[in-house]
Amino acid sequence: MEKSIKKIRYFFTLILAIVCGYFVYMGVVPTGRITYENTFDDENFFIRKLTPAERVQKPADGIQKIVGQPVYFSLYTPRTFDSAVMTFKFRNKTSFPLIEAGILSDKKIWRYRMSPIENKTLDEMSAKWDVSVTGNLSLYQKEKKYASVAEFMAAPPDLSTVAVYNAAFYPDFRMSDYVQSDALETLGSGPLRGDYQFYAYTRNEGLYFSFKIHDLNLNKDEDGIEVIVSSKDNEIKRVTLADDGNREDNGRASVARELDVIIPDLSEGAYKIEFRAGSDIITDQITTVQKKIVFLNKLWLMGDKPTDDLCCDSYRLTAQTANPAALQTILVSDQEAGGNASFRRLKLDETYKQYSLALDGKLKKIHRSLGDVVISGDGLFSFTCDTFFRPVPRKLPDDPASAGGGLRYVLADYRPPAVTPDSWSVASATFDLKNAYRENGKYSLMLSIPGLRDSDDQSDYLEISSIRADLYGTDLMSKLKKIIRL
Amino acid sequence: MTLYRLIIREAFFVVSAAVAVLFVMEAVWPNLVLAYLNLNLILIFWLIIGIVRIITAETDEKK
Repeated sequence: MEKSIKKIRYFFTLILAIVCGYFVYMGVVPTGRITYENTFDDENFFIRKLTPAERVQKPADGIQKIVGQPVYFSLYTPRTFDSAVMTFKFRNKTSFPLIEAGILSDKKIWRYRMSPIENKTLDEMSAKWDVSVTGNLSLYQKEKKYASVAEFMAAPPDLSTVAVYNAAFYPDFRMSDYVQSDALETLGSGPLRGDYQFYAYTRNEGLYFSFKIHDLNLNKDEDGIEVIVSSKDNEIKRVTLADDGNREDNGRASVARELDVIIPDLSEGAYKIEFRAGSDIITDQITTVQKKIVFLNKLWLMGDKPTDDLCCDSYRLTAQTANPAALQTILVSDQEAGGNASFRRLKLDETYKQYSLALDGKLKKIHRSLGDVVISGDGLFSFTCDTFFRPVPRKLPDDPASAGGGLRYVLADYRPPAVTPDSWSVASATFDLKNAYRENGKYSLMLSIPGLRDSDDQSDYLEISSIRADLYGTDLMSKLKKIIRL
Repeated sequence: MTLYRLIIREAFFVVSAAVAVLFVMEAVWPNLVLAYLNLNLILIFWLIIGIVRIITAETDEKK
């Protein structure tokens, strides 16, 4: 009897040990590689459901329909990993021109690093244009001039004929007619809210920027500020300013403070300056010696009755406001039009709604009358047309029709999706997880499908059949060796 | 004590130990267990096996 008891006890204990060992193994992932997959048959702990609920339909037969964009989902990992290859199996019956996946890299400014899933513009181009592939990069040429990507990068053509998509291409940029001056000037005609990025040109005067800011204290988050100066993706200088000390959401605006970024010795060229701050931070004034400054992506303009007009070279201009008092009609005219200008109108009728206008990519003037409006686009913006310059190639526009115009070359890091025999497309995006934002073990990801709106009357959608995450990180042996060496 | 009752008793012990170990693991490393196993199910299983254990023990005492 005693023997039987022992045998049974050992057997049960062994089972418990195996179960616990399995959990620890799956948590530690000693090989450094693991795969999780959500096939939409059931709830998945690792790849969570797509949100918000109003932009998706309930999964049926292992297929999730997305009816609005963007949609978000979390990827839970029991430990940290270095990179993730996210593979999406989808069906784009509506033929949306662009599908991208992104991972949250900076929560303060809510920035996602985007990666292509499907780009119909490039897929269509590849059928008509010449395509050269080197490594991850593909060069699309309307008329073949360059034999390879390397040849193109060594002697790039006029930047106005080039577009890039998901590729880092920073050709040397020099302005022959640039006139340097040490005279300080104030930029723009009104305050800016939140984060922004811009390029500034320097010859021998170095970089000098003085940001006069204040904190609205409308949100509880800490409102530290970081200004990062970089050249060709290489960080040169980082300047920080701590929170004003008021971490409450009491709306007591802080006193004005100044943040100076001064780099006296810099070689001639265009430098990128990234002002990272939450939406509580207002930049009241930017003082600089730089004469050529252009902003990227978006500007949250606060000043009413501006004396300057914005200039931009976007293919698509978008405006939005959350303030009922800022509803207005934004006028867009050609740069050289002068008094005979014919205006195109972008009317903001409702708050929180994005309004957009298709443009031809040539330099345009944007006239607004009220502040508290977010202006964004796929081009560059400047506060006056005199200060506009384009130091980098433009991004490939979303709209296939506008992409053909003056463009002759497209440099892209993109592979078209594979198509399965049952007509599903399969595409992967690789994300660097070391620089991704992780909270409570979760990475935040998104799917962007421009043109897919849940609020319109159209019954368009994107079907997703599975999302797979292949994670790669340090294996246990390497980790132990690293710890021992320390 | 029959083999059946012996197995019930030992199973109750090991499930009790499992509940304790898995809860400690979950407390020390959140989601380590929950990612794969619903701990509520373990608790329900523990409750059932505990009831069976009490019933079988009472039967033994009556005999």
